[in-house]
Amino acid sequence: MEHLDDEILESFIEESREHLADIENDLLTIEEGGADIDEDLVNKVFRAAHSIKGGAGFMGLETIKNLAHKIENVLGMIRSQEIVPSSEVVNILLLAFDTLRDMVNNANESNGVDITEHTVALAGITSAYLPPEEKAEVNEQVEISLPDGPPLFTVAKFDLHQAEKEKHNVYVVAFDLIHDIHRRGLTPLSFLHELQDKVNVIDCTVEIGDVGTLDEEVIINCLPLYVLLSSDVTPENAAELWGVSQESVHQLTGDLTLKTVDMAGYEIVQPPADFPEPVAEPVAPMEIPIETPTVCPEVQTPTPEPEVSAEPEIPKRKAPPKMTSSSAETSLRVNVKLLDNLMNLAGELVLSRNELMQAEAQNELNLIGAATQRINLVTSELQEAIMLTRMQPIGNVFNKFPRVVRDLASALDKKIELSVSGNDVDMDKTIIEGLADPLTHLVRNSADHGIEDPAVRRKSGKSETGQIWLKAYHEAGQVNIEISDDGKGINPDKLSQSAINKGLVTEKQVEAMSDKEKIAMIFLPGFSMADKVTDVSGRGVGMDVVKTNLDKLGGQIDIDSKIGYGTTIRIKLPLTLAIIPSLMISTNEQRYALPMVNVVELLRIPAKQIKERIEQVADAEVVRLRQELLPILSLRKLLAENLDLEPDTETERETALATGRAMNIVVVSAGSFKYGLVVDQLHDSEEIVVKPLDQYLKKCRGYAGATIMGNGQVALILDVASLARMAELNLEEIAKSSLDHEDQVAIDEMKTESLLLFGCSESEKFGVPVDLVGRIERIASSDIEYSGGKKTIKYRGGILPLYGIDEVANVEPLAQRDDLLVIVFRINGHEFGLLAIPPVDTVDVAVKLDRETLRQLGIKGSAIIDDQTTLIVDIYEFIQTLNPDWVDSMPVDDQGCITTDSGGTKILYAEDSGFFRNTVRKFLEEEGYGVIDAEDGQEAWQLLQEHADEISMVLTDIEMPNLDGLGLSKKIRSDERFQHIPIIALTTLASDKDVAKGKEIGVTDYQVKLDKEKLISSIQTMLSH
Amino acid sequence: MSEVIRENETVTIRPQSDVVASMASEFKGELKGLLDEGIRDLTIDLQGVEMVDSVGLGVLIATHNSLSKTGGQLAVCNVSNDIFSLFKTMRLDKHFSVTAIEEEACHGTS
Repeated sequence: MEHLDDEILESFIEESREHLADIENDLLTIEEGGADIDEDLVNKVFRAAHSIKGGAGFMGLETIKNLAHKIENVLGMIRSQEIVPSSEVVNILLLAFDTLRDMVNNANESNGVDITEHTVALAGITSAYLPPEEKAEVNEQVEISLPDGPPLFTVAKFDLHQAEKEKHNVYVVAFDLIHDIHRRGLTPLSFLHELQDKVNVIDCTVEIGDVGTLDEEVIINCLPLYVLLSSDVTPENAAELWGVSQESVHQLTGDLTLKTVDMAGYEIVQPPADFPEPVAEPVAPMEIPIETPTVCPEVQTPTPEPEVSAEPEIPKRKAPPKMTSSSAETSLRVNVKLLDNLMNLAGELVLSRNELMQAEAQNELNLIGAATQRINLVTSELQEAIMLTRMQPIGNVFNKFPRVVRDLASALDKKIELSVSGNDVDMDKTIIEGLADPLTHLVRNSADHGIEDPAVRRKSGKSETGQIWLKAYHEAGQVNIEISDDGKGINPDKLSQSAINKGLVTEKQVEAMSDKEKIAMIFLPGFSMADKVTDVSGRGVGMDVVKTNLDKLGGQIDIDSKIGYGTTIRIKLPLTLAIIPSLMISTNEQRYALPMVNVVELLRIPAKQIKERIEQVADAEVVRLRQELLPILSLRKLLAENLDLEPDTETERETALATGRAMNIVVVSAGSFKYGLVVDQLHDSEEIVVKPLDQYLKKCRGYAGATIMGNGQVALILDVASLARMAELNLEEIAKSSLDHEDQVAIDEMKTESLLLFGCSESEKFGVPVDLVGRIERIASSDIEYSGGKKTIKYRGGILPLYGIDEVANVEPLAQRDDLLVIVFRINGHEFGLLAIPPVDTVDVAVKLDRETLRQLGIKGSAIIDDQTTLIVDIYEFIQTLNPDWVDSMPVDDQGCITTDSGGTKILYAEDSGFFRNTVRKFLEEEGYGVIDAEDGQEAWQLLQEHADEISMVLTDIEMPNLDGLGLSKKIRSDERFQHIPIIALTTLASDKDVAKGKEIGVTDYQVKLDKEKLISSIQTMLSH
Repeated sequence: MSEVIRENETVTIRPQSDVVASMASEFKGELKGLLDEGIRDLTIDLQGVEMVDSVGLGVLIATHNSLSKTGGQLAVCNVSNDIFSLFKTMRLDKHFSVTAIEEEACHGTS
């Protein structure tokens, strides 16, 4: 649907979203009210469905329109008190609205959505509640015809009935598209849209017989369009209003409650005249409206709004933006007062600027001072006002929870009451959006794990109905959100036992932990609170994800729990992400900004206290702070690591002792743990404007962004959590486990890699990532041919150059044996073999790479694998040394080896839906990949051949025209050149069977569309070797 | 001038501009020419056509009417989304075959 006018579609989506925003709560309120309905509320929901129906009809979104129509029918009956909104009915409505919302959010895909389930359920309600004689009407068709004419329309009697109930008149209006429409400068499309906006169009038909054939002399004489519509317009005004002659309007009357099936009860009456024979009187119908053009300007003049007049002159297809990113909100409604205020401030700013310029021209220092002050003032106000435009009430997120809790309670057979407060707390839009998922998870957890079954609650003397409180409030420039329940609380011992069982921590570590620390283990990846996996939660993904999400928003999370009394989860969030108060510090004479939210306290240890207060535990330094040992990290060292400088082995303590200077420590908290960051100097705090890091800096760890300081210099913003990760400092270590270094290895964040182990001589072992290896061929030493001083073998009809590691690296030469192995690599489209001797082995190991001791050309470093020192081959460097031009195009990263996962990497992306193509492409590009996209498998295949040397990975949709994803994969795999190119299949839904089928063909991985994080991480793993 | 593609029995005509009043006369002439040749099954390919106005619509219907007289059939294909919804709303698809442009046809399948 790329051709829809983007702007119109967007405004439709936006408007529909607004309509849908409060629906859930309204429906729940309606449900509570039962038979005693609040008419205004029902009307509101009805209108929402109605407007969406209208809009969707206009946009050609048939499925949305149909579903909205069915919903509207049911709501209409609730309104007229024919249906009691029981929880059953409301349930069906809620589900239907859910689907409606999904479809609206994905409007471009909506026509393919199957809504039968809902339409059947909704029709079920309507017919179940209808008086028996009306029941049949839902499916009963009636024919409507002009007097003495053939039937024009066949419509559901129910629709006519509804119109009557709404006190609408039903008309058949005959428009002549040539005279009434074309000559008024309208197109049929814009006309119909306009009409659908004003009245309820039930059906249309064209009397094609009246058009004539190609043999007529006049091009086209008339084109009668009969529209069956209902409207509250009175018969007297109808003709004028719609710009047609009196004769063209026919009102439908008839006792709709009659059981008569056919048109016997209907008659087209008043105005009585027949529809004029258009051929005979071609000019007549247009005369009346032209003579009285002022009667109803809104119909007779083409409306100026772009929404309703699809102007013929605009060649829509030429507009380059092919899609709207429909799922993310791209526009925002802003209070007009706020805009006025902004305008005012902008005006003031201009005035102040003039003042400043004048003062500067006169060189009047005191005037300049005054002007500067004014600008300062105006800027602060402007900043505040602009921030306000981004502010949204948190109620936008909270609103969905009554529904969530209601559904959960009934699914779990529990009684739960949710109290929400602080709906009107405003927060930055980005944060509000990011909050939805973590909060949902937490609320679900509370309902699922927190609140006990009614029986259990009764036994423990609590009321059967569990309580969940959701609170938001401002505190100290931050927003606090609390989710608390009066459930069973979290048992820290049970939790730590579970963590031990899962191998996440050791018993020794647990012993040293406080209850709070034990509970904090809930945030460890791979931890799930539930005893058993339930439908609702407990799939082992959860709290760690919640935490990561909140970290991203700059939030902090904290759990308080008392066994038997309940749990309170507190989240602290900044008001906005764009401007944050920060502490400026410097190290190595560079200034850095530390977000204030992370700063707990500042610590200055005078030189003479350093000896006592800084201690060395294993290889970590800690500071003694109020009876607690706090690990400290040296910012200088961490940054040196980032720059790959020679790390200095001196500890901070030694440095400080040597120089006799005091030590400045910033105690920072990164979510659930704290550490001290040693910096050279502390400066004051500043409000900084966060600028995202450019993508070529994305690889530098430890930074959250950059900012420009008052003096125009750039300062990097430190990311305390990522600094902690760089130092491999984590929660377990904080739990004083640094005393027990051995146990820690198991939980250290180390990357597991698949390595191919091989040898070239008996004494040395080598390893190379399996993913880089194309094939392994067994050959006899006599197969090797020597030509032009190079070793080659015949390989698949071609010649494969062979190399030994000893040609680059200083290692033992290849053993003299008859049976040899050739490990085939393919780098940048060039294939070559590496000579080795059997046996080879593959292992999955967590590699701790030593980049120092045995590092040399072609060897990345060494690792201990199976108690043996293994040299890890850097195959890129290796081949670059031998054939520099093969890898020239590849960038060199800070570690001095060739990387594949930076800007040069091209991904081929085949996807037929423009929406997904643009969205996925955008986030791939954000990650720094180059993207070549194709609209179907066939095109992708061609592009792959054209760009064979550039493309390092294929991403493909499964369902595509011409050649589908599986077909494409098959083609790729059957071509020798592409046998090892990773293929990721992107799907919306993949059954296990599909996955298996894909894997068989050679699809490397399956990922869900738009699950950005997983997709990116999958791409990174595949490309990172 | 519209492009005319003849393939076995079926003839496809592809107007090179929007089907609107300004070109209707010429287009009608071309269609009439084809019908006079005795063509029975005609496909009008609306690829690239963004706009069909009332007169254009009339020409399409007239073509249908002429073809029905001789027992032929009209098919309109590669109809852009807007126009497709117009045809649908006006129930013209009940009279002759209307197919949306291909990329539309596969929407929602993935």
